[in-house]
Amino acid sequence: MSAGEPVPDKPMPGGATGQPDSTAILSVRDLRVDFETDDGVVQAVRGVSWDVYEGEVLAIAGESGSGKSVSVLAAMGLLPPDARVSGSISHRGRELLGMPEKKLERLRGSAMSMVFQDPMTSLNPVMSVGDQIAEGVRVHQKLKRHQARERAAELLDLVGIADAARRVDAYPHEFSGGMRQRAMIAMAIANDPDVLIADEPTTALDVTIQAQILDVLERARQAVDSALILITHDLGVVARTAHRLFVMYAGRTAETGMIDDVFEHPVHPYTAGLLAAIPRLDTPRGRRLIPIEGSPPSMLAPPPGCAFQPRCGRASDLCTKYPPPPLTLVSPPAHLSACHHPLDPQQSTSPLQNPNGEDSDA
Amino acid sequence: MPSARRGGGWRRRWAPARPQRAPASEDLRAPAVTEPAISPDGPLLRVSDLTKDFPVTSRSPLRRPTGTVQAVSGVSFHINRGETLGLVGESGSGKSTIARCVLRLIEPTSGSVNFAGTELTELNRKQMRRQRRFMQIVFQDPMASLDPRMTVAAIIAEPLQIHRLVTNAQDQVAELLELVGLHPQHGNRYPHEFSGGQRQRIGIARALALKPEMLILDEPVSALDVSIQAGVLNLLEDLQDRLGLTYLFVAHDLSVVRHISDRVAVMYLGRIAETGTGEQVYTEPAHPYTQALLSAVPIPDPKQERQRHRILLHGDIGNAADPPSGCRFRTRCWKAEAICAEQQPPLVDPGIGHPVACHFPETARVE
Amino acid sequence: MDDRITTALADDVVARSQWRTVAGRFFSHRFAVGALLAASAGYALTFLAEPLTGWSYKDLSSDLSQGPSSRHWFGTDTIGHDMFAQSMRGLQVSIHVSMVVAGIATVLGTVLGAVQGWFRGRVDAGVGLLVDFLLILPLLPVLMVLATRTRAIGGSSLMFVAVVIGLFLWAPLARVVRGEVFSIREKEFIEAAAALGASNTRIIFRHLIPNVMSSVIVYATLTVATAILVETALAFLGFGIQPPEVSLGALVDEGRDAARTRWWLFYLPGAVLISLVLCVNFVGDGLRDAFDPRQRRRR
Repeated sequence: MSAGEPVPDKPMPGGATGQPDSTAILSVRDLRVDFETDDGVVQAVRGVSWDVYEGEVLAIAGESGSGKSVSVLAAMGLLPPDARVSGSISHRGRELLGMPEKKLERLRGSAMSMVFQDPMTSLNPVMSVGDQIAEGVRVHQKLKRHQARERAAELLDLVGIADAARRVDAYPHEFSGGMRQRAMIAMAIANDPDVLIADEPTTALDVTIQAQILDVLERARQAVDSALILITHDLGVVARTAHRLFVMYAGRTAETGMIDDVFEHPVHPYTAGLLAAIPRLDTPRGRRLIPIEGSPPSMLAPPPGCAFQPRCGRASDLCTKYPPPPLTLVSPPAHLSACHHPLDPQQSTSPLQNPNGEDSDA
Repeated sequence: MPSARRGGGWRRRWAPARPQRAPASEDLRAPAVTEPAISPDGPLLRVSDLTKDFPVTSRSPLRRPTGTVQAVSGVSFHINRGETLGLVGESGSGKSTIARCVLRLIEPTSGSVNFAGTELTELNRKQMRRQRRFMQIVFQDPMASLDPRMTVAAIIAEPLQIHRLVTNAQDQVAELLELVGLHPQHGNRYPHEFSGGQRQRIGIARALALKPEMLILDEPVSALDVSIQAGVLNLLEDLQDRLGLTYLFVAHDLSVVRHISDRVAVMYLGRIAETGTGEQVYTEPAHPYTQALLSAVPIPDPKQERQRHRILLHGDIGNAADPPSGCRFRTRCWKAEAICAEQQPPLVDPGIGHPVACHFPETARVE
Repeated sequence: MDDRITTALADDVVARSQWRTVAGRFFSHRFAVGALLAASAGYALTFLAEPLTGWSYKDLSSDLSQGPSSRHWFGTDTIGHDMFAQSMRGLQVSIHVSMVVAGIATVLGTVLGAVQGWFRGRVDAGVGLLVDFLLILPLLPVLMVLATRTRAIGGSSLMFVAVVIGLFLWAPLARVVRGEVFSIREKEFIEAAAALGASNTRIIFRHLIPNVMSSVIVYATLTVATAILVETALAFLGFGIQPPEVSLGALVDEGRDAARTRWWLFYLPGAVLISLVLCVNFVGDGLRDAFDPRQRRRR
């Protein structure tokens, strides 16, 4: 029934169960996040585990409401107070959940830092860009005012803002959307973080600007030698940028693995369905898309059993009654999926293989 | 084989009352630039030399005009009956302004919009309201485009009431809901009770209520989750086949545009940079901007992504309030020379089979 | 495909209209519900007062200047009016007058505000001028002058007073509605209506006004409270409603001199008045909370 063997207890890349992985920078175990609302409890994240390792680019992909952002905001301690978080989030072996706010503040920015989707609302409109970066620098490093300012100019130069020495004094509204996002990236790497978290960093941007920003993000990541967690709904961006991928659906991980494995041999029906449903630049007019019927469930009352089951062509009674099994190894090193009836990776005909009717996998 | 699907033989299930049709294009102003061959029965929509300037006023109480934003600057294109023209560009390219000018939701500054022989820019308000029966629009944000205080049935019946076409509202609404793949019983619900994809279907049903000949689709899937987009795109294709609709598909997503369009026009800062069939524009782009744009779109295939050659443009799309002289793309173009600042390149076929507005056109495969 | 979508919908959160959501939220607001019940009960009591006590507000009894007793719940005044009957009549009149005022002000304010917001330009400037003028006008002195000047043509009749106050109180609402219409007119569903060929009238009455109704309702409630106070103030100053008709303001005015000696003549009608205004304000607060978008569920 399942395509592989259960994950051994020993932590392994792709981190599924068991103890936090101390070799990881950030290790999340069985994370659950609930929100109390007027209408009831929204179960945004329902038991998610992942690790991010030195120097890797980990993508967390999913649609709106899949819980992809919430799980990372939880790690940053940036959820609103009405969120109930349980499970474990550890940074190099140190548990972050329940850590006093003061200590967490010291970690935020220096050990982990974040780039948000909308750079306009995450920059202070009445403070110059340089001052904002310098402020972040001085919170974590003992630098004189002018040193911090120089550092800010350096960082702006690094993220490709032309004439950075002069532009440090500019205000956010004088920057274009792409430049603001560059400034945000400069701010995020100002204190040499271990892990950089980018939450839909290019969603608000045009495609030519997106290409620039993805480029800058990678350059910035390499400059400070950090890991990158990239949260996105765009599988194209994942394919371009990431090393490893988590696909989330309705608050759970559906499938994870190195991107080549997941894109070429998706085993979870959701992943496979998603890849078949998206129009691609390199497929000509007339090729019929295969939509995933229905819509994502309400997280107020997620369906019992597998949340994807109402939309799944492979669903059986098992799927309506029991939640999907824990992440199970499909193929080494790190391709895992959580499904009662996964596709066979050898036979899963990914729609990617045949965009033009010719076999590109040869 | 895209054209095989849309031969002339499709019977229209709904035969809409057609507007008066003058003999094709006699009363048209001569288009400013050459157009590719026109299908024998004449295009359904012909836009010629369309310009839209938005005045910029000072913030002082006197509101003195201080300049203009040249959102659209002399754009010409046509759409043949039953065909889909994809209008693609980044924000600020003027594509949505064109969509609204065609419907005169925004008054064009100058130029001509000819729909099935009727010159729309010459109609008065009342005539234009009547004309809207034949051309409808579907908006980007399905939540924002549906009145939250009205039931779905009331929303879909509204166009029928406006144009006094109600015969049996309940049946008409039920038929429309079914047409877009929704359950007729859901008419008495409110928009917020539906998912994004379903809301967009409601928007499409409303647009179809008047049995229009043409739909203007303004980013119809970009607010939807990826797993939902395919269903709506398929629906649009099916509807086109069944009802013989003509689409103007405006979007920033190049993959979606390629998927749905017969012909494509690439916009940059209020002008068309390149136009042609989907195949021509996507596989043999000749304008540097088209090439850069295509190379910037990520493809969900890691192996292919690693092999692709990427053209990184520097800078942002220019300022439409103060566009560059000559070719508007020249400030970001790696081929730019003196002539590009001096002369606006005309949109003509440089001998490659489709028109390009560039002084140094050169086809290149981008994939 | 249909079946799939149907199932998806069936699984959806409880289907309910926006009004029902608002009603639900309002009814969970204890103060507001209490206030609404109290005001309704008070209004019902104004009709039951005569059968209950046997006194009409017009009756003159032989009991002069008596304190509250089981015979005269609120006591009597110097010429033998039963003060409970008088207060109840005053309450009734105040409620009626304020309803008419709020009705006129709400309709005028909503329509003119929506017209301003939709047409903008000269229409907006013209109506805006009138709004500004009304807002800076010192309301009470103007109404007092109007009351003295128009006494001959029925200036003391109930309805006349109500209509005049109504004509003065629409301006703030027009301003609120105009502001909201400015933001709603940019929404796509308004553009969609225009694209369907809808006329200006249709857009204003079918799309704009229904979408500002939440503010209008909240504001109308508060206008009721203002109207009560304005009418009271006028009556207190001796204008507007004239004897034998009574209003709460007139009663308080008459009892003013007696506040120290025959306290019931002043404090009891005053208490009725304050309770009414408080109730109306509580209801208004409750409605505002019920409509407040910040209360909507977070995702």
